[in-house]
Amino acid sequence: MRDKLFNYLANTIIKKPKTILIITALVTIVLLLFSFNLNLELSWVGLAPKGDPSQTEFRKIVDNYPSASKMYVTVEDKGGDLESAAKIAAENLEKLQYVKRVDYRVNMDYLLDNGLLLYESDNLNNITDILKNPNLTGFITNLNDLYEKEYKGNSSGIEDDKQEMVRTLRGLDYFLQLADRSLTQNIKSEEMDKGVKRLLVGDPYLSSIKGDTLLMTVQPTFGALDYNKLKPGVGAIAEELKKIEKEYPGFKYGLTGMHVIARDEMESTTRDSTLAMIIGLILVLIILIAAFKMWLSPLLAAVPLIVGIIWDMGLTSIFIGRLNIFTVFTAAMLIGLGIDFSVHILSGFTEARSKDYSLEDSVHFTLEKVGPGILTGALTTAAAFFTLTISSLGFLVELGLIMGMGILSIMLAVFLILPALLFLRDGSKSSTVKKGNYPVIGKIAGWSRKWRYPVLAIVLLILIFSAWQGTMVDFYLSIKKIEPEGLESIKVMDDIADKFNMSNDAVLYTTDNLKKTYQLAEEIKDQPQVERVSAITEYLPPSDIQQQRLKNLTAVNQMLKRRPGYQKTDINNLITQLKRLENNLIEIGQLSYMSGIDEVVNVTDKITGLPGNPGILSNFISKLEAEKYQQQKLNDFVSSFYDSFSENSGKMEIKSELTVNDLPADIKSQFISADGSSYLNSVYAKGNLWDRIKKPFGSRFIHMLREKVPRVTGTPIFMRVLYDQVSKEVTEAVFLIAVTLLLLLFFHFRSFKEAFIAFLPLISALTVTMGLIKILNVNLDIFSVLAFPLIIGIGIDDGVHVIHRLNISDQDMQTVFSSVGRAILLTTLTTMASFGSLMIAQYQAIYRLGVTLFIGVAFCFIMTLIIIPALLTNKNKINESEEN
Amino acid sequence: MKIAKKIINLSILAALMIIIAVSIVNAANITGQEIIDKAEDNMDYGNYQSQAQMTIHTTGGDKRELKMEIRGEGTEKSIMKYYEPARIEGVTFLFIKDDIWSFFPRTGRVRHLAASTKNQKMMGSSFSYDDFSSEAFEDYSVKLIGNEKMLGEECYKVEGQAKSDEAAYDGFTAWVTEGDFRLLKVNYFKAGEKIKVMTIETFMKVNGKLRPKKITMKDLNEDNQTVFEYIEIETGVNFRPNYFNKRNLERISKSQL
Repeated sequence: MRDKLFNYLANTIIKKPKTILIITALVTIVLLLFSFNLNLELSWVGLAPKGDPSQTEFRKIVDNYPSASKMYVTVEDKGGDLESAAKIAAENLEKLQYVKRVDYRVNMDYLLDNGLLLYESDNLNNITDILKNPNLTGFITNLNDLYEKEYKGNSSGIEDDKQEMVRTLRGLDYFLQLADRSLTQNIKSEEMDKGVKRLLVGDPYLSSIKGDTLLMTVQPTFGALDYNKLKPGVGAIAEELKKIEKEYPGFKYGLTGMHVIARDEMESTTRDSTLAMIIGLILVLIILIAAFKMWLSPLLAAVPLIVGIIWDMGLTSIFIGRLNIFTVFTAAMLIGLGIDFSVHILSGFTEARSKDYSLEDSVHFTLEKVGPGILTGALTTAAAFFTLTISSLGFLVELGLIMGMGILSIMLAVFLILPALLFLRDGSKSSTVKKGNYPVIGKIAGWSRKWRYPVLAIVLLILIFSAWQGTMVDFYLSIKKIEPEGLESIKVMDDIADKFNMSNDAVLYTTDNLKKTYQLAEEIKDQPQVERVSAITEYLPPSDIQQQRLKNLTAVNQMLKRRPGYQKTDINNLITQLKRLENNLIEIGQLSYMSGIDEVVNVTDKITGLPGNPGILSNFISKLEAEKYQQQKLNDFVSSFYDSFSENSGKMEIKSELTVNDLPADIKSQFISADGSSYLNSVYAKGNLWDRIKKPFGSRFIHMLREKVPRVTGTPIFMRVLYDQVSKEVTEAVFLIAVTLLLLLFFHFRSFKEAFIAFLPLISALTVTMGLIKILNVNLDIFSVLAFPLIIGIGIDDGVHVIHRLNISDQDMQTVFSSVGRAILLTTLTTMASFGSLMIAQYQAIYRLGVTLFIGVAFCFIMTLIIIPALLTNKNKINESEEN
Repeated sequence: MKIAKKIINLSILAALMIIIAVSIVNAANITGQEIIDKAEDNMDYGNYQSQAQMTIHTTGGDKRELKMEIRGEGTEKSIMKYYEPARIEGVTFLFIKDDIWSFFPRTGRVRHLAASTKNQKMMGSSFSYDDFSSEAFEDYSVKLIGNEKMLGEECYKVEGQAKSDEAAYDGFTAWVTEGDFRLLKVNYFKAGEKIKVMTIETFMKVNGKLRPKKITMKDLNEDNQTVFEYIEIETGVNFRPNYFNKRNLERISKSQL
């Protein structure tokens, strides 16, 4: 049947070569047009497992919450004026068509008006205590009482309240600077108002631990999956920030977030895949030209390859519609695999011509003798890829389909186009046919046969060593080890994690009622891996909680109405209370220092200073003690404080429950979906999550969240789910592919022994590859681990061709290896060249994939050359070989 | 004469065999509780004074080395005075049972701190106050679950289950050396998860006995670790009556090491 098929094909090519070429050209044009519709979806979302709730939730969030995928801007200023640097950036960015809004400070007015309702009952007493007296000395006395009651040197108490405490202390620092200035200058009422608000609400900015960097968020008008707008949109924002940096040389901005990383990924993958494809194609052609010592034939060999890839892309456009981060590299990989078919046809044809066969006989020889091997090789490789379609991972399914279809398309294109081209070319012009054998390969095979026992022993030792090394291979999960190297957006992301002790790669989930939102946020923020939970209930607690707090607030409301009137300041009393405050803050600072709570240490140091280097509070006290102030100015300041404090703290009186309608637009847009039916919640891990994603910390963070909210989503979730799934499925895929191949080999050879021997070099090559990637410190990640099923699909061909030729040839083994060895060496070199070209990728995962495939394919050839002769000889010459 | 010599030799051999047999029987009969009690005894220094250093990781990502002088009387009273780095030099804590007092030389104030709870972190470290207590395993029912090699030494492997909710952890697994009952490693569990790992890899000889020198506590939930190391230790120290008193804090803080 198979022989008849190839005989018919050979006859058709000899009779109508041009018709075949015209038909294939027409098909190619049609599929090329289809391929133009392919979407490049180069994001992590597409890689999540099919049906995983994280994927559907992410799309839901992106569609319903414009603020969900925001960009982060870090703000620094050499002069220390972070507020201005943030303000200028916000004003300029908001003018851009790609920017919807910029946030860099909390909504102070809302917090002031409703703050008392937002405090948990436990903390309510603390805040109300400090509102009791609007006189400056009275306020500081109450503040001291609070510190001495709440933080009785208990470092755990400081650690539990550190965020709130830092915000309050930064507010106090701002106010003390104002107070210090008031001794010599008049303070405007607006300035006093600002200072008092900061005392009551705290620092409105999200500052780093050292206080030298601010974080602002940019909400763009386009989504992170809006691929067409990523490049111009992110580009415009980055450009604007650079412009401001030029105008204000002290300012420095860093840009990151999902949009920015997605833009960088897209640019990197597009550049890497194009470059890898071009370099791979050039290298392959150079190898073929050098091997065949002719120019035109190798170029002709590339024609069906390119045609096959176009057919594959057209079919992909029809059946899948997109290329993802991984499948965008399939064209580069197909070059290495597909060129093998051309090489075998070219080798067969040149071998036939070197034996002085006629053109017609050469076509018959090529298709009938070489064709079945190519067909089996292509079917086994395609079958290996199609097996991936049973995976639950979307990107593996797509990879399997695209590579499987690609292999079959190229095989078909090679069978139809290459013999026709060779026939037409040789018919019009006689060529010098070069020798079609590599005797040195035959000699190595003969030598391996002769010394088979020591050779097998050495191979076994190498395999044991490699397997041992392989058990120590690292499996990377962090995007820092996977994404392109040196990306500015990843550096900024890292910077944020280090400076703010918080991962900005938030994990997201939605809720549909306030009660559930509140309960989940409370549960999650108590977990040791969580730094912060951002939920609407921070601004709008559920009704029952509000009612409970309102009851407690009745007394507070009455207290606010019965506060003492303005009292003339007793300077000695003020100094005493300021000194007490200084002592309290020194102790809090020292306890924080011993406990490693740097954010508190930095701000207390600023206020109290260190021995020999007084802080703002110490300076203020010294001036008061030394009477270096104008009494009138101090009186004005104290009186102005009373007015402002009375007015602003008076606003904190709460009469009724808050509703959604009371929320300002910025808070609404941050948390409420476009249709108002659900709420967005963000969870930020402590420290650098990516550095700890594989440790118990990362694993518990992700699994804890998935347990509490099964549909929780975000890049860390995708990566962890991918890792868990890939670890499980790659083992299954390797097993399934191996069984499928063994069965196919059995049907092909009709012998278990031969099927097994064809398989042995492959297993050996995989083992050596594992060992080498450890020794070379390349290691593995969720992408490069896929090299293993690929190596199986590719590497099996070497053994198949050798055993197939041994079975049909009546020549001795050395001669068979000299002949078929040349073809498999060339296919190996071309495959190595094309996969090796992936090593130019800046994308670390693709580089790792390239290295792994390069080593794997090389060792498939080496192991075939060493193991098969040692275990098998050609049936027709068995006696002669054994005698030899 | 020869017969007498033979009898003596045989007697010595028989005596040795009896001693070995008794030891084996005793060793085989030892319970988990006895093992952990002996290990705890090994951690009890009696009256002592020592210099130690603790390495913690700060929220800003830095490593911070804190050096301190510790004096203790039995298991319930101790004083800890920091002497390095300079900015906390002289800060002194007094621990009497669950009560803590502190003295801050920069402010000159003695403060009574909140009483510590067993599972509360000790000064931002990965250790809880209970981990440092010499009765750290009292709240657990302990049983011997096998013998295992740990850090290159033959060890008893014991398992502890919390007797009540008051225990700092739900349970632990500990490895104690077979010969001299030194605690080498403890895995602490809570809600079915391993949350902390304590290892003691280096020991020093104190009064002829090997005592822990360097103790590392890894907090797996927070991905943090604290290393506590004795620089030197002196036991059998006599403290004057009422030495461990809050009234002495200022004087101790200002005294030379």
